[in-house]
Amino acid sequence: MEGLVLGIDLCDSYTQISCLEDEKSWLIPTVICREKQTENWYIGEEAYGHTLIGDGVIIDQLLKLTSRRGTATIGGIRYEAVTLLECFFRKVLELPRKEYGIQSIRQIVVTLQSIDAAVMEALQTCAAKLGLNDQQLRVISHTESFIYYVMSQKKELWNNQVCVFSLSADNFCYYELKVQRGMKRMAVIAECETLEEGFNLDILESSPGGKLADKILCSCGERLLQKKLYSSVFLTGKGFLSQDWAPEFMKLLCKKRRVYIESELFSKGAAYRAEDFTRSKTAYPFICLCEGHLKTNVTMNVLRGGQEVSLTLAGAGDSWYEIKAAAEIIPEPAEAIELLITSVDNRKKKIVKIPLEGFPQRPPRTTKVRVEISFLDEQTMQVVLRDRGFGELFPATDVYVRQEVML
Amino acid sequence: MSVWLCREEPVRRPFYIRELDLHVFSSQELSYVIVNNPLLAMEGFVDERLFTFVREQLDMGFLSLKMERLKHSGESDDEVLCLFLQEAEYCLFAEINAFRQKISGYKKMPLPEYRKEWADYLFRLGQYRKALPVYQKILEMPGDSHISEVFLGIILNNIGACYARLMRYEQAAKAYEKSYFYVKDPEVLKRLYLLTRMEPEPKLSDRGRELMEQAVSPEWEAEYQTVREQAQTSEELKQLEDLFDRDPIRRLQGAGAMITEWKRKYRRMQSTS
Repeated sequence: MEGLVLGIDLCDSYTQISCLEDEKSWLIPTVICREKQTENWYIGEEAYGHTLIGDGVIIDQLLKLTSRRGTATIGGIRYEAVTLLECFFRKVLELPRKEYGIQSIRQIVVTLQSIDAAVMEALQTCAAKLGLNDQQLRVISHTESFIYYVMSQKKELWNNQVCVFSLSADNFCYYELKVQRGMKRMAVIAECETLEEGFNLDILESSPGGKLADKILCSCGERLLQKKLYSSVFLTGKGFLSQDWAPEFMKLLCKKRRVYIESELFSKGAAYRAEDFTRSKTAYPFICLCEGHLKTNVTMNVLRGGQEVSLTLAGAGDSWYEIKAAAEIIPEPAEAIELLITSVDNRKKKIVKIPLEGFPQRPPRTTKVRVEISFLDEQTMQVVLRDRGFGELFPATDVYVRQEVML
Repeated sequence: MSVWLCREEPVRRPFYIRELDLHVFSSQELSYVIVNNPLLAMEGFVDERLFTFVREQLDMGFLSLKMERLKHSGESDDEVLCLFLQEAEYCLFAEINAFRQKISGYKKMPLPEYRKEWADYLFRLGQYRKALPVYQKILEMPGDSHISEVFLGIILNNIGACYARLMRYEQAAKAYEKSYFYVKDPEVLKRLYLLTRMEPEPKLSDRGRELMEQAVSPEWEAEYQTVREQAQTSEELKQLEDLFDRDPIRRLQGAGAMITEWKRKYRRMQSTS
């Protein structure tokens, strides 16, 4: 192995690490503890141990803390959430490093329940401190992990719709996936619904609690599954480690459907994605349409070889948080830039015209404009147009136009 | 609305065009310069330095090879440049055709007229020292070159203008005197008169003084005074005054930049290479 390729499912309650090599996984609570008198850090069960003995201070809900850019004080020292996350991450990576005796990291994909800009930023900071570049550590959503997990299985498992029930201490979620064929490229569309019927897993420890939970799941199942045709149904999360408490729900699911229990679904999905990042050509030639991915194409008509062609600045299926596209163009007249926003099925089209306000007046075709595209979220595109002048003939100015575009 | 997509060109060493005192950083700029300066195309613009720039800096190795082959096959420089314009995809077909027509027009011109066009072009670019020998060579052309007296007068007038811009007033005055001999245009005499108002005042020949006495007009002096007044309120003078209003450190910095620019302009107009 040239370096470790890991998928990490990072949640507030647990963290699961999967390595496709030997299908090895680790599941630990997402907690970190520092010994009161020393600078020794512990994670997972060990952290609980030191806290119970009384020689350590534990911090939990690391993601929530990171998301609100909070701090925690241990032994009189104030720690930024990102610092704690880095300590936690460093310790987490020790597990596969020790197991395989390999120190170098080739690729990590972290999967989060949902994409959070602050957590992503913190993870990139952690990556840099751990000596990884921004390509070596990528972040995806659970929905995307689900897609990659399913699409790594045999085709008969995803011919029709596929769904996942995820029951964990954090939430109860339903994921649904379908493959859309008939377009230039196959598209895989997946959505996540956080169910309001979520409950505390502690109730499963008592018989009446288990029965109640079974009823809740049955009602959700009936509502969500209806008469849809599923190729496969997956159950994941701590709540489904045992299904003894849910006989009715299992009966409902198993009616003419293939049901699989996969406790490491998200971390394995992330590991499959990580493995794919290491390839020069993807093994998953489809457009991925889910949370964190664009559902529209952003293009611009440009002249090339004397003919008008469409230049794609951002494509449907691209991760919006990774898009930093730029192109240099010469518009004529240099009054505005037109961007074309098209839905993935080409049915909806929208033209966005951004005026080049404040740009200097110059002779025809002597204003070079740098177009920079990035996304603030899945629906908000930020466009920056900078005046690049025309060499020494018409020097560039500091003028730029910044505009947010709702897709 | 049309949008040209710019190629990514890894230009680290720009292409310097001495005649224009210009560094070119992209294929679009090079296309723009060529199409707007067709005379350059006819005066040794196409050489190994251009091929190297296209190959190494614009990363257009194949095009560079095609241009070289075309040149070595004996094709004219303007055809080589047309090939570049087509492949660089910046100019419209109409512009390339217009460029071809202009070149064709220049090629059909009698040699003295073409040389005058080239010298005038250099003059417009402020390259007076370079324009001078081109004008002077026209005067040395043999008698059967179909040069009319009026044409000679114009050439001499332009030589006078070059000398005047180079602040060589004695030679400028001599050229204007000779020019008047051929064209008999009072405008030339006016220029001669205005020269006499410069510092240091040039010495006119006896004939020149005689001409001046006969033709001098109060309007010329009025025009001179108007130009002088305009100069006193010019933007350049205002910039200079602003500079002296600044604190000593910023004044020195500004003065340094201004003098550097003046020197650059002066060297450019004195340049012979």
